[in-house]
Amino acid sequence: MKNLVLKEPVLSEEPTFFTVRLRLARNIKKYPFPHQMNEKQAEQLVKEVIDVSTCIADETPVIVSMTDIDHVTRNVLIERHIISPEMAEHGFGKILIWFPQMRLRIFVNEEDHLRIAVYGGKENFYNLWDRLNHVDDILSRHFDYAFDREFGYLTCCPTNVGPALRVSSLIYLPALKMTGKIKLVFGVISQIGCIIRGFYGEGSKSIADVYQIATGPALGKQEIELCQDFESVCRTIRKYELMSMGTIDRVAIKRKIVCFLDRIFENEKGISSSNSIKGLSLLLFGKNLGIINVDAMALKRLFYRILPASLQLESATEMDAVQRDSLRLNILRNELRNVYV
Amino acid sequence: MICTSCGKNTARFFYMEISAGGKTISGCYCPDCVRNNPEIKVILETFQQNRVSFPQKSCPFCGMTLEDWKQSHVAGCARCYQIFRSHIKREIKKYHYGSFHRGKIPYSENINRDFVLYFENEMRRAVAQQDIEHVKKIKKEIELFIKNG
Repeated sequence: MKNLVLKEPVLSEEPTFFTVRLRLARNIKKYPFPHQMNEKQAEQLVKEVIDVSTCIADETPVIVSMTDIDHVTRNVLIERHIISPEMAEHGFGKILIWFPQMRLRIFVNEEDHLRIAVYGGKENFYNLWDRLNHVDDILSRHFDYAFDREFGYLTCCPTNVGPALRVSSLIYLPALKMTGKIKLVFGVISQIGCIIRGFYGEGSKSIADVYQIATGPALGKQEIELCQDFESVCRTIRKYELMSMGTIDRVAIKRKIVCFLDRIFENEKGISSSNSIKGLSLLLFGKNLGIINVDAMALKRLFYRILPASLQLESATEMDAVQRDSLRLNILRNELRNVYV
Repeated sequence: MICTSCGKNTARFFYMEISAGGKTISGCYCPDCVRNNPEIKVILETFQQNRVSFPQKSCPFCGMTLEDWKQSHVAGCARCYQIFRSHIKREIKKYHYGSFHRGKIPYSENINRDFVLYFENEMRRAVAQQDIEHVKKIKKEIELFIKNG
């Protein structure tokens, strides 16, 4: 489990993308929605889903119950975008059924009975939808889904009805932020019907210019249309980010990178996660601009590795903030020793 | 208009009494005088005692009431969508651009996909030709289709 979690998330090789994900929300007619369910009903549903999950793939799924894991593991799952902060909240019958090889996760009793998510790095949205659709078809043969001919798939929150599909991506946009064009781009995106969120989804803030962009309410649209529209949005954002990169003052960025590396190797006893993320974001930007030669994928992985709960899980000890800062500094020194500006 | 009782404040309440003989007594009062008038006080108290509250509309499956829906805007179960349909539909219209599901249909629903496509094409054609009568006709057909399946 530990090794599996620390390999996550599956990152994209695209310079402006971190992760891509497609998620379906499904409810079962015979049960009330999770917030109205009693413990017995929740457990019954969990049992049924686990039984059916054997039909989905040949691999044995990893089943994680939210009540059986300690708070460090729970925080790592949130940090690495494996579960949402809502899923980690207290409540009975909340489980994750995870098929790592298939890159598929089924969340039981989150906001809806089933939330089926596929994720990937290189794949395009169409392939991801194909995989998700296949899993949904299998599940729909076993469960009588809550469905309405006018509203589509019924969900706990009416904003999600319709195809109940959310396509989302973590996008890294430092150049647009620096040039101030981000407001304009986000304004256009929200007019199209997309939602812009922070690093950990709804209600969170952006960390180091990484934003989560997702499709919004989608009643009246077909799933393929949603994927196509989202792919077009992503391509447009990418194009504008690359265009903005051309107007960036490279010398200033280079100076900032040198300053960050100096702090890592000379001055500090420890470094906080927010400062290290800002620094790593700068290095990644430097790589995208061609200022420094560094493995972009390794940098992206380092983003997640130095987060507080991930550090504790990796070292298998609970640490206070000072200990974490010190360990984080050592990791950064070790990983960034071959970076030259 | 000035209160007929105190003769100072602006009147907000108008009173008319028709006696058995057909005589009418009328007056207008300010809120203070209404509050202090012993006769009106008794009537208001009797009204409060006999106040009837009708049972709230609620979902027979999960027990969610209309009041719960209005506060949380979250449905309790699939049946709530039928029970509070008009209220939920109003909420859906606020957030969604479309009004009719066009996506995939679950295995359990024995729905005629061609029929949906037929409606979609007919509606598109009627809107393009600005044939309002035909649009109305299709709308009725869709409503019947939703109702009867």
